[in-house]
Amino acid sequence: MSGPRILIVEDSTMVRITVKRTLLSVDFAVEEAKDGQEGLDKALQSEQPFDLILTDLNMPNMDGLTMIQKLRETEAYADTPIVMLTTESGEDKKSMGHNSGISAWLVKPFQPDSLIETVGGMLF
Amino acid sequence: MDEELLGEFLTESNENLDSIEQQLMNLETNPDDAELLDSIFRAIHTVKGSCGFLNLTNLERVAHAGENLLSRIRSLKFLVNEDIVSLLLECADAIKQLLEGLADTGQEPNLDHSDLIGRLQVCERFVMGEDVAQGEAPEKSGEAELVEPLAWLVGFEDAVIHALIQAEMLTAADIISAGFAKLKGIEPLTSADALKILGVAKGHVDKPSVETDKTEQAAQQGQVSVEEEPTPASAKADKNEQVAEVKAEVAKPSSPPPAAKKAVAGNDSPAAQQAKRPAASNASVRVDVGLLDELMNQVGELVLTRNSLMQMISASGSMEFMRVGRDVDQITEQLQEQLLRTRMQPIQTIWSSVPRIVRDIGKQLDKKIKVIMEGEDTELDRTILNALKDPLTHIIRNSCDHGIEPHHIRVQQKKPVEGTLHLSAIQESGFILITISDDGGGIDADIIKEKALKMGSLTEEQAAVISPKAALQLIFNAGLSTAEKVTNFSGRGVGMDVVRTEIERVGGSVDIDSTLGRGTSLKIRIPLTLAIISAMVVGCKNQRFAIPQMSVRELLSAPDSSEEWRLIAGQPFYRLRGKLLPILRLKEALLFAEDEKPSGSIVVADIGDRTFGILVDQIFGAEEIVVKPLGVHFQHLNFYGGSTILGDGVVIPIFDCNGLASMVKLSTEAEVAKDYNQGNEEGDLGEQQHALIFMQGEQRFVIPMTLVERLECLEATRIEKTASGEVLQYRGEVIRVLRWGDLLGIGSGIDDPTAQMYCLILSDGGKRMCLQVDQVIDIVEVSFDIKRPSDNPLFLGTTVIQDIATEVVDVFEVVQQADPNWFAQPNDMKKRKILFVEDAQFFRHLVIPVLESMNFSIKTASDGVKACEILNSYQPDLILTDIEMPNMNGYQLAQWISEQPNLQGIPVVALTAQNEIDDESLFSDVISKLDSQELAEHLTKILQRFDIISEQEIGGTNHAITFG
Repeated sequence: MSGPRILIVEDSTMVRITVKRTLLSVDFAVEEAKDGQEGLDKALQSEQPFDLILTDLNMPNMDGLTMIQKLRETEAYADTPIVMLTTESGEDKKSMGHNSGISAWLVKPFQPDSLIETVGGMLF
Repeated sequence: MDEELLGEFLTESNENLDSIEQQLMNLETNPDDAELLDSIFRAIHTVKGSCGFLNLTNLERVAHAGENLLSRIRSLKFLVNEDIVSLLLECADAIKQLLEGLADTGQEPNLDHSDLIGRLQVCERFVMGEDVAQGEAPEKSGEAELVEPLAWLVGFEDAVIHALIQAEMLTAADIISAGFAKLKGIEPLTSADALKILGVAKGHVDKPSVETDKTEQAAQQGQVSVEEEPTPASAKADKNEQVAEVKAEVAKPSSPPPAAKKAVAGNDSPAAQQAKRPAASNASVRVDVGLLDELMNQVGELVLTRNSLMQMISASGSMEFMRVGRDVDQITEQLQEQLLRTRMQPIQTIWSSVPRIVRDIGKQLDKKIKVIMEGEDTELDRTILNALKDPLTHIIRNSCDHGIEPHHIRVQQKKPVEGTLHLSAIQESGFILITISDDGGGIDADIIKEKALKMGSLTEEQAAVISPKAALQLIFNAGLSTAEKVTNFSGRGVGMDVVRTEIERVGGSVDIDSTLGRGTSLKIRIPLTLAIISAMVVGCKNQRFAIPQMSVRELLSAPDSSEEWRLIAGQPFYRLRGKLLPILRLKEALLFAEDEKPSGSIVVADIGDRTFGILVDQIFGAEEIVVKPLGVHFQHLNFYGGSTILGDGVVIPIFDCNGLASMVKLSTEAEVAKDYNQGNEEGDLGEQQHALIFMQGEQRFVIPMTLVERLECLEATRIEKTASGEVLQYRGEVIRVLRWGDLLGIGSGIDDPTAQMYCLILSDGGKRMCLQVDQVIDIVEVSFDIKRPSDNPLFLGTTVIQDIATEVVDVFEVVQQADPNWFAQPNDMKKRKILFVEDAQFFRHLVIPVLESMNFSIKTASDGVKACEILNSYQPDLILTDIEMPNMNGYQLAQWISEQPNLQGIPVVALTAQNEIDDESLFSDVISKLDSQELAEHLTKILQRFDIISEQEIGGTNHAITFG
């Protein structure tokens, strides 16, 4: 019955709130996780797979890249768009390469508009 | 989950639901009570809305289904029956049940309401008149045929729905296949709208498949997209054909169902209106402007507090604090940003009356004028918008009235009969640029000049040198109107000055440009908002000042060792990318100190029609500051625009760059700079000299710079009276003051002791004298071509400078009269001759005054070839040459000179910016292009070495031009 469901995996409350507010404003459903492990658990336990995942890179317990790798191994998330939220510069992006499973990048700090653009571009 | 928030949500929801039961039952008896229905709808809607925030998915789904049904009933004015009320009551019960569970455990109970949701959805479609093969649905209402495309898109403005229909996106599937990129490109959809619509569309497409599982009767197998607008006829048709048929029907504009046509056509369908209005009215609230202003003040205070908090945190060095601090910082910023947005209104609000104004004037004056507006959705703070309204109207009236020519003239000039008035607004960083241009007759700068002369706001001298663009700016002066006739609309001689005052009052600037016969354009730069601005905090003498970011164009580091500093007649300039930038030394301007070597950082300020540098000691960085008014005691200081409180609690003033620019006499200096920047590239300057033009009363004089050491602007009180006459304490000396007015016998004309006086400091042979004059006009390069000798010994005669007759002061005579012993040492040696070869006009300008001050007779050449030509008939005492030049360079020139028998023995000195030169043996000496002081000293030594001047004379050549 509802529109797209998004999972945001991010240890900074600030970023989570920002993302959540923005996505709620377009009537999306948003679930939150504070680190990679929690994100992985939520993603796998969800009845319906999430339509899109936004994740931070550096987080306690499990980092974003590891989480993405584990998600990509599952059937449910083999093709799900996963957006990496990062403060890293362009160079680091390149070093992580195409095999990382990352679908798109969003450099923090970002404006709500760029989040909308990125999510819209990935989903539709 | 946030306990407090949850508590509030529960309280509110229960309140809402308490009444809902009774209301639903009332509705059963009065099914046409629209108000009652509204109230029920609102209650459920509120619950649903809050669920989204709290992530209560189960609750949200139930409430959402209930809300959809209610919204449908409402929009279609469907009269509810018993069954529907029961279903709605069931829905309310389910919500209550979920809320109770939530209250007990703090968690959303995992209850499955999909059956109820399914039934609600089926009912919704029944209400819409779909043929639902289910016993639950009783007889069809007559209104059931009412359909409208995209009815499931609730909560969007009519304009959005219309745009979608126009783009032939009539179903969820259409929308999804169009994609995000296409959707967001449709006016007036924002990216957020597009995403929201796509999300809803996706949910909408997904919905049938859920229904198929749960309520089998509802939907058909294999149906990918469900249309909301099946007609009874199509419902009876073959199932596979149904979708295609409905689609075709809606897409074809020729044969939509009557109701659908109504909805597409728009606005008069009450059903369509009702469907959308509730959401729209719920989405916005009317707020008292006073409250917003108050909020703004408080957020302003919050920003200040945040600033101090951040400073304390960074001083504490605690990482934990820092993290919290960062959050506070960001939240404050968002809060401020969003609050600012609430105060923003599109410029459309004041532009909307423009077409009407233009039409009315056009009609009265029999002119056809079309208005083109661009960027009318650009948003501005409402205070600023209000302030802009009158000036804008005035400008537009002027454009229509005086700008755009009458019919017959336009025809004569082969212009389109219809005039065009172009308004545009664009946002640049931190400010809005509004341009108002017309394709009318333009403004004649000469007429403005004439008027200004008549009005006395421009002197003849100024008129002679003023650029056409600068002359145009005079239109903003009081009392200037170029209209030949005064008409009803404009031209009463007041107005443009008010326009400027109004715009400057809100921190903006205005600039006019016009081409005769082509049109006029006015550019208004205005800050986005007034209350909180971004400013550059700078330091000067241990004090801090804020410069509004809007005026800041760039920042430069300019240590005193920088080679780009130039000092011309006491006014420092900085050479920035080949252009001389006049510099305001803040320290000197604020009377902190004077006569220091310019060094520090330069803030390049741009105030519309001109650019200047503000020399400060330090730049601390940009900061968001809250503008507070200045106390009444300071308000007469026009170079301050307000004050603010910094993070550490210190109150600092905010500069007003318009005021700063007018505080120093930049315009004169700017003209000098322009002269230097744009002067003709013709090489041979002949016997030209630098001279200073000044006024005494109405009379105009020119004095050679030969003896002028510095130009000072001093307070009248600095001149003290002693028994032997007036004196001035200057650089630790007491020097004699001569008043030019007294010498002429017309009086000094200065009664006001606080007035500023222009003093020319004359210097020769280590002696100084001060010559006080009324007004310094300009420094120019002239050849003193005396047209008429003078009887008065003080003058050499009359010459013509810039087409104005000007008396040439015999500075030697003046000094001699005042102090017969001044030239006690015989100085009758004939002038030494120098040939100066240099291709760069800039350096010629720089070096020539130095040479002049050393009493050389100068000839210049712009390259080696020209130098050779001159040397064929001219034998100088010294040749000073650049190395890098076109046609023939310095080496080749030196080589050529060494081969000429008649030029043997003449020292050839290289003047170069290079550190090393290839062949030093060709030259007698090498001088680096440094500052003029060094140049003078160096040349003196060389002259001594070559016995061209004697020891006694050296004194006279010192300090010709000094760096302050």
